[in-house]
Amino acid sequence: MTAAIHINKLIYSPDARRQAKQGLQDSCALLQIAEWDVAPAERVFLYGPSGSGKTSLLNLICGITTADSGEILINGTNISAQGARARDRLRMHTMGVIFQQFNLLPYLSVADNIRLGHFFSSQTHSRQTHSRQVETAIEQLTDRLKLPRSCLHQKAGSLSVGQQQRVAIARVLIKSPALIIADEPTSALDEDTRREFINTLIDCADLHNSTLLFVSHEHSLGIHFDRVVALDSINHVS
Amino acid sequence: MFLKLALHSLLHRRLAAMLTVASIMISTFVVLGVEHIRQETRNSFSKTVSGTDLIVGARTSQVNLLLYSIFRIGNASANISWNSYQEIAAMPGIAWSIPLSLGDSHRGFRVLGTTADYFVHFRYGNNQSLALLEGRVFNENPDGYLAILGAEAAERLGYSTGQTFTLSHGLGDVSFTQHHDHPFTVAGILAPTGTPVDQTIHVSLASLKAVHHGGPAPDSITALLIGLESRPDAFAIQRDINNYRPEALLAIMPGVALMELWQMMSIVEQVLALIAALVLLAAMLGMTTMLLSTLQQRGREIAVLRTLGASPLFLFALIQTEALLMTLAGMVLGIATLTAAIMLGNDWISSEYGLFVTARVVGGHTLPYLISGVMLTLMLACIPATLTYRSSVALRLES
Repeated sequence: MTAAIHINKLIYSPDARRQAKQGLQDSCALLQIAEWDVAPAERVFLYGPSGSGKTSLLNLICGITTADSGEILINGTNISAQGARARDRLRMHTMGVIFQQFNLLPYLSVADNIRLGHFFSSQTHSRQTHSRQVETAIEQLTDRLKLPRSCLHQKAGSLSVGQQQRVAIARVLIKSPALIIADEPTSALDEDTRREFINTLIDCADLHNSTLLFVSHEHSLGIHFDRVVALDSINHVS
Repeated sequence: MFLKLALHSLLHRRLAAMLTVASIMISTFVVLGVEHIRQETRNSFSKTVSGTDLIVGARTSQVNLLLYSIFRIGNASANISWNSYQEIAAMPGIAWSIPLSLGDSHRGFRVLGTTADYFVHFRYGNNQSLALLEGRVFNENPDGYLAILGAEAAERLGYSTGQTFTLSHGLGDVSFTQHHDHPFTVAGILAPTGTPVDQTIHVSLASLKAVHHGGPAPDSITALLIGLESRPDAFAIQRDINNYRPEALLAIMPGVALMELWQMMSIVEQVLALIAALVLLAAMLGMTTMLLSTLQQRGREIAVLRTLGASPLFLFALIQTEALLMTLAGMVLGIATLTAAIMLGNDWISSEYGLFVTARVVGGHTLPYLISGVMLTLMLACIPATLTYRSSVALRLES
């Protein structure tokens, strides 16, 4: 069975190119991962202190940056070896990303923000963003995420941060991505909202059978997940 | 969805966007206004007189003679004596001649003393002759104190045939010298022509003379319109008149004098066009500045759109579309305001300057300006759009 994420002999040193230009050798790598796998539909909690390279790893997995050497296979495709356009496409079709905050365009309505997720992932960039099917999906998602239906027509910017984060989940889920990546999505939430958010996220990942990679510096959140990984334990920067 | 995104993004920054649209609106108003009025002035001037081969007046400049005889702008400095008129009218090769006598007015409308030939030979526009809307024209003198009103004069004065009124000496609404003892009766009203004829009150030369001095024969006229039997003779006859011994006269060909007028105006026109173009450029630069200044706050939005799968090209197009939307909105508003302004100011312009400006602002003459405005927008918006493109290519997720 193909791993959802498979990392092999990855080396990433963001400063390498700059240092090479300046004639410096022996640049120090930020990430050096010999091998790491995430199984399909697995819920993985990755933690590490700030500056440990968590975000860089996510950038690599999303294909926003590329590795200096080694492979990152997403469902068997080496995203690091693809061109910019192919990486965009792979990300758009197979991944959903939730940030710390500001996931939404504040000037669009909640419904339009969710539609946006569908708009970019649909192959044709078709205008089918108002089809019956999409409308139903949006309503189901808002119900499941316990968002009042009345908020669908509100501007996203007018919601509370907790509600905004749940809309962000809805937008990710509308395209049923194989891989959901959450980058400290709870750091702006209080204790109760946080627990509820994580539970909802995991329930939704279960329902869509998606792999979930949740990144945080807060070790305590790990109890909700199948597997807890410390970045330091897989990253062997010399 | 794409348009919705662009539109809502602009509405989100509505104050800056509205000010930008307003500046584009103003510049569109200026650019199109200058060009439209220029074009309409030329049209209006060149259709005012047709079929007249020569205009004769006391010696002055070509343009001056043209302006006061045909366009009723300014005044004659001297007159032609009745004798000279008779002699010139009798010159060989001349098919017809129309004497014009100006100087009186009635409630702001100029009074033109002429003969019945005026209604027979005078042509305007595309060789059209004057037509009556109602009543009749005066016959050869003497035919009493009759007046034929231009369409607009009749409408604005509210006169219909049979109405009587008195003339005042000189121009202007209020005059101290009223010719009360000789009231004129409206005999006919002319159909609209879109030329200064519409604002003119036509009376016979004989009656005008009688009002002033009481004698039967006029002693001078202001100008003379001449039609020739054969057009190629125009140069020879023009020379003869210019060399006329008893009096210093000037004969001009209307087309040539118009050309000279355009040449005189062309520098002013060019300066106006240049100013208009610079105003447009300034507005466009203002829009570019506005888009650039919003890029800072857009960082987050760009990251969101990129992670959702928007390509850098999509973001490039988004900025371009926003710029285009603002330009189009500004242009539409500018055109609407200009059209409204012309419709409101039309009466004043036509009565003040004898110019007839239509409200059809968009046409072959202004389209190049609109198109180049759009092109300029797309070119200048490349700056913020390219920056967005670049920053979206170099995007990192940051926590």
